[in-house]
Amino acid sequence: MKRLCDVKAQQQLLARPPVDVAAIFADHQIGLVRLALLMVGDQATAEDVVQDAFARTHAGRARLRDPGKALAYVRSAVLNGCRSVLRRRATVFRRTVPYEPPVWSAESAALLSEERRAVLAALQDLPPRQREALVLRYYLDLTDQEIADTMGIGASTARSTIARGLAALGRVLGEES
Amino acid sequence: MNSPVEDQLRRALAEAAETVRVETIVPLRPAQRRRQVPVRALVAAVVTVALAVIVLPRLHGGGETAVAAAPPRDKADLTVFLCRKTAGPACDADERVDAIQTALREMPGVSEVHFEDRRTAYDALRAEYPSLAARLTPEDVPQAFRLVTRPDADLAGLARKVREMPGVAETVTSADITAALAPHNATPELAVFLCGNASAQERCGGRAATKAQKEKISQALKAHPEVTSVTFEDQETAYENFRETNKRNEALVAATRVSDMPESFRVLFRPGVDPATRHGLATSMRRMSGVAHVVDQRCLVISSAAHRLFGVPVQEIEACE
Repeated sequence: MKRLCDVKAQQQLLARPPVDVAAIFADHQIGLVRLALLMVGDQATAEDVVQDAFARTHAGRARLRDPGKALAYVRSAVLNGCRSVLRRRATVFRRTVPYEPPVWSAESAALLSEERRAVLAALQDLPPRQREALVLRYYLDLTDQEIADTMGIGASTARSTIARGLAALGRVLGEES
Repeated sequence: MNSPVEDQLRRALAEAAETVRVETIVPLRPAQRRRQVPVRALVAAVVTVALAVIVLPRLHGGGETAVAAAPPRDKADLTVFLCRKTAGPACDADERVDAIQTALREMPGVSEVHFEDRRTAYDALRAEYPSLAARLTPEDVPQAFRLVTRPDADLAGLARKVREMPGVAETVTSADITAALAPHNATPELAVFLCGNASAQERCGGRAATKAQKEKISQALKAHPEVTSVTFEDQETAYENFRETNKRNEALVAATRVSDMPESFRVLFRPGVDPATRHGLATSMRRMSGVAHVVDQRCLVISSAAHRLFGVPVQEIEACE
């Protein structure tokens, strides 16, 4: 019986027109660049990340059939790209091309107040998962479930990750002030 | 409800995100085969050129076989015309050209893909149909891919799939082109349509041509030195011809009555007559009262050939001289 239901559900999924991931990218490009910027710190890298994610997912668009999940899928592709960028940066010896100073640095051309910069710098020092979860919650205002879908984790894990990240952030900022 | 840290974080993120300079964002480019190799491609190109300079003189032209030349316009198995901005502002063919080319190359049965840009197409159009080209700009002429297919390729299926690709306006098979280029009628007629009770033309004023007007038109045509024959086509004959040419469109035939058909004079010219003479007569007939409109079949033949070869829409090129 369960099998039958599964087959039916699958058929329903297949009957839906495949989602045009390219269109979602195009519609949300600016938002995705902003999201990537918050992760990697500078616009040029953020744009590259979005472009690369677009190019990669564009090729495999036929696999994506659930329109409800499309935006989460696209965002998680961008977050994955950001993670790779940050990993590459961590291996400083390999880095030959200097990137723009991040928005939260004092050298950045984008003018943010001292307080904002302190918050963003503290955010950068958090583990990547916590940082991603906090950005998805406090920049994109996503629900626990949406964050979970985007990060590929469970909703309860998302919730606890946010709580831990927020606590850590509070500690750092509290010590500074 | 929100803790101070949450509020701080929210504001900081919003402000940092706002620093994105939207106007400088480069539009997304579709995935390409050679996405990451501009430098390597450049080096390869330089090396190729260097090699060609050294090797070619020794080969005595043998190097030309390396790249297949594009087939002549009327010999391509399938011609793919991309959309044009002048026809619809939503057209994004320019951004899609590379993606379309990649997709075409990967389609089953396709052996060669040749691209033709607007400028080249326009120059060729001007060489072939100068009077048409004078009415158009390169922007009116679509970009095209000319495909050479394998002998066993399913051309109809291929064309159908290609037409579904975004950025593609239409496809033309070699059979379409042959049909358009073959003179349907060795001696194309000039058709002078008369005003009927239902004529929509403003100059008819909703009144059918009178007997006196028809007589005058007929005499003017017959008096022309280059005209060899003038035939009157009444509504019944027009309807029969109409039914014959549209027999596959039953709904259209069913919706049309004999009384809807216009009467006309069919004019034949002496063979080898100068196009300007045909044009001159057509123009003077258009001015006569009782005439609804004038169609030179020669122009229709040219229009349809230019449409098939260059993708220029027919309505933009109807008048041909």
